[in-house]
Amino acid sequence: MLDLQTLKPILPQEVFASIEENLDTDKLREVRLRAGRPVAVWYNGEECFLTRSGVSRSSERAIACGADDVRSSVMGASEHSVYAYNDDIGRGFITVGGGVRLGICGEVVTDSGRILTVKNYSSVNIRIPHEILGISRCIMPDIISKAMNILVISPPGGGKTTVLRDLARRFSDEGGFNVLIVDERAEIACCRRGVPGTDIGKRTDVITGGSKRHAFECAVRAVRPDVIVTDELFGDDADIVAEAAGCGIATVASAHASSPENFAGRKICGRLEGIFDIYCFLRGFGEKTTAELLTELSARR
Amino acid sequence: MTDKLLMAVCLGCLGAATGYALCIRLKRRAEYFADLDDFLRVFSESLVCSLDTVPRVIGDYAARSPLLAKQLGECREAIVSGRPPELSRGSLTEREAALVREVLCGLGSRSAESERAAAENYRRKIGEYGKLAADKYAKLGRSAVKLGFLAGLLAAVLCW
Repeated sequence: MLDLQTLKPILPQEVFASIEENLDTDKLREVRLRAGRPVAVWYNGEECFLTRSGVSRSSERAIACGADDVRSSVMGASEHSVYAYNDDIGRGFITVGGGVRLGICGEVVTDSGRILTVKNYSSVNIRIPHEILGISRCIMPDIISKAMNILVISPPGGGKTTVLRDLARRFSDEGGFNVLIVDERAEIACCRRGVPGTDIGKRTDVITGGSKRHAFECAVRAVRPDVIVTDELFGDDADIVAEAAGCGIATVASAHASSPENFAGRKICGRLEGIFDIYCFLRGFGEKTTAELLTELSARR
Repeated sequence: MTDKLLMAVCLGCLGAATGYALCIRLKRRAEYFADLDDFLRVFSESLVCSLDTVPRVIGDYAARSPLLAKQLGECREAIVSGRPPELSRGSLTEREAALVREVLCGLGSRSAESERAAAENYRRKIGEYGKLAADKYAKLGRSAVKLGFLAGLLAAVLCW
């Protein structure tokens, strides 16, 4: 459960006070601060505006947010040390304690194509993680003795990361496997200063921030995991997953697609063919998530 | 007669004590600026090596000046709690306090390179204040006790 104090340094006082007094943090998923616009929240499964007395569908009495509030939020998330978080800011997010993540929008400063930083922050999206222990039972009711290559597919916001996190925890705790989470954007383990913000299991290691290729190379050469858990496979990622499989390391990964047919039509699907043992297409939301399990996708094209 | 002698001694002691207090104040001001300069040096170095956050650099820094220790504590507390810092002014003039506020409240708001340049720029400005404070202490500080004692005695003679 979220410790509300985690949000204190990153929220304007008025917003924090309203959330503290009126909202149930278990139902709060997102807080959006946009410069010059009302504060919006994703609460109890719907998008609404935050008022002094709670939430409302109308923006009339919503708490207003200024550019300074957005800037203060980024400053608070970076512990008033922008230089220490500059790489994260350049990638568009900062991970705060407890797995809370701050997505940052603003003007990207580049030099010869290289992103230097982001300035004049225009909005932030504060995402509050919700672990649903056991959600991955819809894919695998019991952890089997031999780890398999599993690809979890769903549309954005469909619960892929929650399922991956739970699978990592269960492979680690229930299956006794050494698990390595390759967490490019710190979304699965939500590590801050090396400490995971979520329950990822007792036998789980995390590589945060690097590229998948670098992390997979580290895994094969030095970390020796039984299972690698990673998110959002794209383009060349198929090659490194195949290499890991060749080395006897199972991979559990995710990919975006609105349907199995849609995924079957993607270029990466053809490249992944024969590598993954199970394709799991997620449906539903939260604890009511269900999974359609497929062993091959070529028939769906 | 005894009363007057006692009054002379008391006034002399009072003058010496006032002079001592002034001496301590001048000494602390000189120490304060030297300490602030040292803190900025440590902060600037951390930008090259460890990129520690501002609260950590502040937490790790052992300030020698009581005023700087208090100000750094206030600054850190404000950062952690997410409210604007209110810094103690101590014996600083309004202008000096404004500069210190600018220095401490601005920490961490820039990229590492800009932060280092700003720290070096502030060190130059603080160095000037520090030099003035050190000169004043060297000139007045050491003789303040004697001057205070003599002033006390002079007051006693005038009151005789």
